[in-house]
Amino acid sequence: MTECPICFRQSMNGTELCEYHEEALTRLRAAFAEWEKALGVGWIDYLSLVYRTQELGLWVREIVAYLTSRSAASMLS
Amino acid sequence: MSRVLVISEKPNAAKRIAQALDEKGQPHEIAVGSVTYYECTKDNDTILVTYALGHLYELRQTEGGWNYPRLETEWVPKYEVEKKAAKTRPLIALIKRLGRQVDRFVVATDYDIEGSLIGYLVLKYACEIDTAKAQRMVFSSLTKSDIVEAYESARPNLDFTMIESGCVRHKVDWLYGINLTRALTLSIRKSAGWFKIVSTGRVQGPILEFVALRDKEINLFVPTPFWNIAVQGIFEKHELSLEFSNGRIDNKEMAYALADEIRGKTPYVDAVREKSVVQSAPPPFNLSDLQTEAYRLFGFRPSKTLSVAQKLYLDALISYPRTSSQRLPPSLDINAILNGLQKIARLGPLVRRLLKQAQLTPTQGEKEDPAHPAIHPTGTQPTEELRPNERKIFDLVVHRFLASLGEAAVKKIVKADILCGERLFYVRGVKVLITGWMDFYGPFVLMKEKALPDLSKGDEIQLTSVKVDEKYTSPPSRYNPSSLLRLLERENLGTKATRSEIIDSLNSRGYTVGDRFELSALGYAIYETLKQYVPTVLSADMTRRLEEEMEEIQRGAGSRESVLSEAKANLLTLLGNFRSQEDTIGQALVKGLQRYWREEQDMGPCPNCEDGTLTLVYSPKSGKRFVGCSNYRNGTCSTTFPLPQKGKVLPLKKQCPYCGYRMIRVLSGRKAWETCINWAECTGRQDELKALEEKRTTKERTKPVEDEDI
Repeated sequence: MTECPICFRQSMNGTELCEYHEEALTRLRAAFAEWEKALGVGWIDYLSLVYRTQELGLWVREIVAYLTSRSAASMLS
Repeated sequence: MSRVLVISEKPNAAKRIAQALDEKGQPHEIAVGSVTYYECTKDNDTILVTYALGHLYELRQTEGGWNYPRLETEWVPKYEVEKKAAKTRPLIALIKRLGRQVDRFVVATDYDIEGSLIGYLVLKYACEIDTAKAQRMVFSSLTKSDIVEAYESARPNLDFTMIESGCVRHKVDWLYGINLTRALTLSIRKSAGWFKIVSTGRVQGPILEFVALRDKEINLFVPTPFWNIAVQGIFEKHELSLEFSNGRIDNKEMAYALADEIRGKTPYVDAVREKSVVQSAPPPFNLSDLQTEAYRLFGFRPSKTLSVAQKLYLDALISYPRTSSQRLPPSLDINAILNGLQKIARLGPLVRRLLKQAQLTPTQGEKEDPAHPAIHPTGTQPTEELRPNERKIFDLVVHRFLASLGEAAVKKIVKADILCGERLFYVRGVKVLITGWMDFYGPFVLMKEKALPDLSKGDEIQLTSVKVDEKYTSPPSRYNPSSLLRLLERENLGTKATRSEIIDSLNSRGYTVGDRFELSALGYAIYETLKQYVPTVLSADMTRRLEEEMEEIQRGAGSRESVLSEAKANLLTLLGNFRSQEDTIGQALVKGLQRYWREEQDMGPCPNCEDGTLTLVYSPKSGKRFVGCSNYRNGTCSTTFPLPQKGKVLPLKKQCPYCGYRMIRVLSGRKAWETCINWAECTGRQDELKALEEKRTTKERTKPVEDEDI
């Protein structure tokens, strides 16, 4: 049984995230299409822009931070 | 000549009843140890008026042990189950004694489920009489005339359907509250050996789910950008805001292209539409309307509004506040109330204006309550100066009552179509033509006029600015005490008397934080566990069905035994299901609690060392608290930050906009404020500190000189 790396809740079957952060990731991905249509931005810029909004939900914010730090770590290694 | 015992609900009510019933208005107050009663004379009868202190009897399990399931209960004196209720012991002894000295019994408690049950239990267990022989006084205000009339036309019997319903409600709430709380608490003890009381209940479970679902939606919200075209123009020196007819624009390029297209064009009026809207006077308040309005106007929590209204009722200034009714009966003497109110200096002119009206017929709302009319002033003037909060609620009730008697208001709504090239914009205006009832609701009217110049087709508007505003979609709003109260009412959960208390319990038990009902980690832990293992506890359907069954009993249509036995059977199934998963549930709760405690302590990463975490620390020497680095103990980091020593400190998941350190919320008594852990050094908070220092100095300066100082 693994724990979500963000909040230490139990991970969902087959994923590393808990149900909340998994859902947050799904919603983050779903909203990308609208941001792309609205601003013509790519995924990385999207993450950076959406993170700066005050309205962003806490779990989505945590997912963005997690994705960003993971991608930074993979670039360093 | 007979001797009568009148049982009221509270000491203040007993005094008012005795004063009203005594022929000379001067009843004898007789003290017996720490409690008192009143003796008065009326029509050769001797009337003894006593009081309860709310409930004098409570339920207790018949089988011993702090375990579950426990399904059988008995009514016992409150002091036997609650240490704090020691005052009820001499009172019960007094009522027992007085009960032996009289030949007639009259219940004069509040006319509702709780009041009826209180009176019944006193008669049954303290006086030990045949309750079928007792009489019932029914009144909706504590004025002399209402009390005398209620006494003289007392009902020959108690309201047994209401009593039955109240009894079932108490038992069902006890069964669910006690058994579920023990099940949760014992699962934690079994799993981790801790004794941490974790409570839930029949109504609290569904409320927790409402709040949790909203909290989840907010936490999962991803905003999307949109753009508004903000166009300003001038017509005959009037500034106008033009509103784009298509609303928001979902693409940045399109928004800027549209703005470019508009600039340089001359908008003109294409059409003007006007309509008059008649706005009837509002009905008088029922409890939830009063609570909603008091929250909107004064920020009062529903429980506070109820408590202030209750005080005004006991002072005979307003009618009984626990009512669902928005209607006033034709028998109500409106002229007498107005004549009383006009003697209050600040209300006099307004009341006299209303008295000049040809007709004084109140607007009636849709909601009814067979027990009590809508909340209204009694016409009695306050004998002493009201406290600020009491005055606010009193004035609100009075103005609403006066407004309900006012004539309809008429508003003119204007909407003009403005064409700018091929693009359509609108300008809107609102003007009150006849103020009507609004004059009487006065400072509490929620209405803003928006003036527009006289516009005609073909009028040209001079553009002054065209801007593009970037905005983001917003998450759903969090509940506030008022919106949550409305939700419970809509869902038919709890009663008008209990809802505000249950709402408060979410905060007091630590399941939510602040007035905006943000679910805490503890709230999540309970919610997640119940949702996964015993979802029925969170189900509004089950609670709603029980409410309906209890209402049926009150209407005389349902059977107390069948409702109770069904509730017990459902609870047994639920607890059996719980017991079979007790270990797993306990582990889940323990993990949730650990997360909660960790989050309560965790103040973020240490800024001065690589792997330290800032946590809340209590000094073993002084007992004072501060924020310290987790590496302090191994001697590698000595980073600390001071904390306020009073109140509860909650770490927030946001950073200080000035210094980037973690923000905290401090809850001290009724006050709550936010600051950062670096508040003593933070450059952005020096003004706050200066203001605080000034406030302290002023307080010191204005402090009265005490003997010791001399």
